[in-house]
Amino acid sequence: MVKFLKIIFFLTLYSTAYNIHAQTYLSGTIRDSLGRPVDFATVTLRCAANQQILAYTNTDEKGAYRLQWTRPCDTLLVAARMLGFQPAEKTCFAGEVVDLTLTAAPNLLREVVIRQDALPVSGNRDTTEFRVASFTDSTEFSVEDVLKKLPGMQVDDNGRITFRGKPVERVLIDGDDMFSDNYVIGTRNIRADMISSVQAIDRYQDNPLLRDIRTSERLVLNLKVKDDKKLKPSGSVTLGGGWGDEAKWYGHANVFSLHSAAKTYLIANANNTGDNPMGNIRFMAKGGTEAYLRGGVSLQNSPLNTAELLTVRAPDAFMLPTAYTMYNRNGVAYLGQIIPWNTKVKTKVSGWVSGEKLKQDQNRQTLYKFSDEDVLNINESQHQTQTTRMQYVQAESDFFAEKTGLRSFSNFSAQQDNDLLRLLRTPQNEPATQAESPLDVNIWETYHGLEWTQKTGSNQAIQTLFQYTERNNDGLLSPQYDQYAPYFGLDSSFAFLTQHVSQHSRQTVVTTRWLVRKGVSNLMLETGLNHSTHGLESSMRLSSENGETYTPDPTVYGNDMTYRQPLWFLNGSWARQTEQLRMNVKLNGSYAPVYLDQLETTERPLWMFQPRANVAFLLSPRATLSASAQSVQRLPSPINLYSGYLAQSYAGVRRGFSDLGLIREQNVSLGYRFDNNTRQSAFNASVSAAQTNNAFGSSYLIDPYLTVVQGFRPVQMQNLSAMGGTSRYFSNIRSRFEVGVQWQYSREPNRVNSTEEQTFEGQNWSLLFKYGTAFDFWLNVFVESRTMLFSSAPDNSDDEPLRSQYFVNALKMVAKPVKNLSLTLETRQIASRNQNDPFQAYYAMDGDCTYTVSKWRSAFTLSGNNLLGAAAFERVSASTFVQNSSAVAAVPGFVYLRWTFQL
Amino acid sequence: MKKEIYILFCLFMAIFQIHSQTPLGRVIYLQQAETSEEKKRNGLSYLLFNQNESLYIQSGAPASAVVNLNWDQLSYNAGDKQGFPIYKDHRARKILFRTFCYKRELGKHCVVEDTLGAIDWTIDASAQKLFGTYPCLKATGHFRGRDYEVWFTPDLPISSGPHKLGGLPGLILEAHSTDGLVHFFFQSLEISSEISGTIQKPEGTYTGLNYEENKAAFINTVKKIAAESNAEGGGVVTVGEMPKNAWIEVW
Repeated sequence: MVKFLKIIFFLTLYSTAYNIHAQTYLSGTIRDSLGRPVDFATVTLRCAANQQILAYTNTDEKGAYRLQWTRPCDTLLVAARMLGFQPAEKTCFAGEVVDLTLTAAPNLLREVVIRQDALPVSGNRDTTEFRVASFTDSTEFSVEDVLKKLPGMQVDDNGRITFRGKPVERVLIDGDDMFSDNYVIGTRNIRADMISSVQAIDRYQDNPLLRDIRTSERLVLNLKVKDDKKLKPSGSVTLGGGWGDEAKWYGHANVFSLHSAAKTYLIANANNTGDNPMGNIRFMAKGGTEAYLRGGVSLQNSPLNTAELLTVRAPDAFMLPTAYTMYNRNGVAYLGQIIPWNTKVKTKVSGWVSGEKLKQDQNRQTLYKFSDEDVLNINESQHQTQTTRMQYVQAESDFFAEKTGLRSFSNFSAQQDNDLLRLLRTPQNEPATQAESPLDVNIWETYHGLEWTQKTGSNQAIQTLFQYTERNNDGLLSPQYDQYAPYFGLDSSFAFLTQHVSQHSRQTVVTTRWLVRKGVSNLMLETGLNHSTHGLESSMRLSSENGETYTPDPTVYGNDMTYRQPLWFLNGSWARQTEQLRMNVKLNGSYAPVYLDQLETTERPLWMFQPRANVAFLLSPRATLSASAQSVQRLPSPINLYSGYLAQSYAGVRRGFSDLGLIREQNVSLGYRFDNNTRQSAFNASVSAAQTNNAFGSSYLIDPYLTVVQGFRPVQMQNLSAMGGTSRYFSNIRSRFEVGVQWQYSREPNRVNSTEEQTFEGQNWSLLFKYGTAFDFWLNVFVESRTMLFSSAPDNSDDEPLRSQYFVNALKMVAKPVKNLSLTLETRQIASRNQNDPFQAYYAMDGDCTYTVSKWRSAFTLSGNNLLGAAAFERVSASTFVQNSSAVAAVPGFVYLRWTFQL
Repeated sequence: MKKEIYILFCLFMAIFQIHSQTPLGRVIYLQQAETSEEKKRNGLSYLLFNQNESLYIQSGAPASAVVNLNWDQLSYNAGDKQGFPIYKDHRARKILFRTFCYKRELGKHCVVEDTLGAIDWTIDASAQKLFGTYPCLKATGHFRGRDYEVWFTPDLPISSGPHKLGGLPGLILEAHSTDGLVHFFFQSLEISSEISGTIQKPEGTYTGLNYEENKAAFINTVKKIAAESNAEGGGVVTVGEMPKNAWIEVW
């Protein structure tokens, strides 16, 4: 009996379970309002309690469907959908037969276009593309304004760009290099609304025949012009004027003609409203052997050494836009044209002329602390004007056939500088001294390069490159400063110094290169000759008010020399690049005898070697671990070091000449980068260490009126640095956050008013916080806060280190209360202090208000500067043995109105 | 003769009309695949659809691109001027896609069959997201070596989506693989009676092979070429496994 009952129990249980399972189905038929079966309608079944979809299917040609599911649910919702019909839905229970009727609704699927914003950032491993519209709010005037908003992109005060810490070498327009190294003219003057996207292209290869054959470390930006701007000549013209303590004027033109085969670019800017359209382009400070050795031979790089023989202190912007601290007159006109002769030959010609005049007034108090007892306190009040005119023209022609390429590049540049410094120097407890120091410099340079490429197989090529550069630099320093007379043992009436320096240089480089790719490896061997000659002639004279003159003995103060260096070089590099690994190993070797005239030097090294290796390992498609190590041996160019015995500025003398000892540098670095391009988050961290042996330390002899710098002692310097940062855009709160930290440590030996060497240890800390919103609201805010801490002390001193601290805070508000109106207001607070003194803070505010009238193709912008009416900005700083307290006269507040007309 | 040509022309047009259907809508996606081979097709892609069928065009694919397999003289065209179309017959749950013929002549294009909707989707109705005015639900599923998270809209009861994804009770508007390597970002949706283009089966040689058979044919072909190369004495060529992250569909 018990056994029977057990069987009954299990049978019942089985039957119940079977019934439960059997009931989890639903069937029915879907018909239209005329009773006809609807074929291929989508039927979904949801649980009424939680709306979870339990099952779905399509009807057959008879309109029938059957759904089965396993998840338990009491009340069910069955729905039928079909394009062109009103959806039908019914509540039901498992096991039922549910028929639904679909009512035709031809208008239900209304014509609709839905657009998601395109990805703000996209790209693959080497190219990152930023969609400009995602980062702009129509308040940006130039491309540079846009670049400053792109994640990972940094633009310094001179307009030079870095992307993820790597310097940008060129800025192209639709793939064409129109600006060479002077790309700031483009980024500061091309209107933001001309471009649709910005591409950051790493490992850029400008020779199409060498793609995949030669590895490249070049980083370039490519500005893609909007398609609608290519249909006809387009651009904009802006005119403006206003008033402050003087009349203000502004003019800008930006015209592109890209609709025909020959493309033309015209850029012009003239203003006295503080807008610097040129950045810090100066021919005096470009090129050089170091750049040549670092970057290798490139067609568009002049390898010529340059020397700044006579120096002038640049006006100080006090961490503000230049409009706050400098009166300016700026103008630049640029014209570029691309002429495609046929599909294989193209010529690019461009050139510009520019002029700049700056004026600034500043007071500076400097405390030199050589020891506890030896302290010097100097007060200076100065008025400075600086005028620069430049002319530049370049031409590049490219011919590329299937296997042969020929490129030529030539440029000519000239620069004329006229600087004037008027100064009252008042050392503590000493009489005041007046000085007036004009400096006039004329430079011209011409460069020609020719490159021939021949592909000798699908994976190999040979190249020959010829480069010639010639440069002339004439400088005249003629200060009126009575402190020179005692230096030469003359009476104080000999207050007029005339120092003329003339430098002439020529450099010829011939390079032959063999390139081959084997699988995932690239090999390059190159050899050639780099022959350079330099000549330096100078003359010095002192005059008195009575017209008497004194010429220092040239055998004692002689400073002429000629120098010739034929440098034979052999460079080899091997690179291996796979999906996971990128490895580059380079070895440069050179033989470089030096022929010097009129100078004695005890060491003339002949051989130099430079091994270098870097490796990057891709941990994942977005995370990269990289390491690099290099050992550099380089010969300092005498022309960069030698000034004989020359006045360099009104109160500075530089003397001495080094033995031509090799400079040996060792650098190692380790970095980690995570970049989730498509989700706009990034993380990076890196550490690096560098040591330089036989660098050229200086001895300073600072007295109240004259500083003598005796340089070029062999010393050892060390630098350590570490940095890290992360940024993330949170789409749910439409906000982007960025934090960063940077630390630097350096050790540098100096001799300051002593024969004993003091090694100064310095540390810099920099903390960055940025926040920005992207609300669909009429107001957005951007906050940037930067804290910097500098400390330094002699390593053998028990004294408390000198410390200075900065806070730089900026708040920018962008408002769009109505469609055609936008307002920006930016407020900055800059605070500084030395040691534990109270903070010295200054505030600055500027803003724009733009109203657009589409019907007139016009925009009107009212801009204001120094709206808080500050009269001066005061700041303190400290480093090694010097403490500074400075005040610069502010340019009084001004407003001006600009009218922009879209062509 | 002229009449015969005219009749033939009409017949051709009639056949053409049968095989090409008017789209009711178009979705544009941004296809981003961080895979060594298929990243060459990154860019905008289009899905033309109606109730019964759909056609996915990868317009980011180059029209022609020579891929060198590092062996001398062995290279093939990795591009397709038609954009590697993927045609889906929703009713028959069948896919016809244009790919390379893995016979002896690498670089020619063939049409290969596949199955639509073989993905076992798990729908999470609690996760909702709005694409324009279309509410979307989240579904997760596994397709050829990758887990996908997709957003589909039941308001458009079309069993299709980007690439070969489909089989849900609504159109997939956005899809991401959870390993972060494959993305189909929604760009735009357009429903209009005036959408240009037709939904038609891909052109090319119909091999009759399905996906797995075509894959096997490729491996056999490569092995054969390697063996021939070795036999010529030009060095030892070994055929390794296809890297996991070479294609959107993991081999």
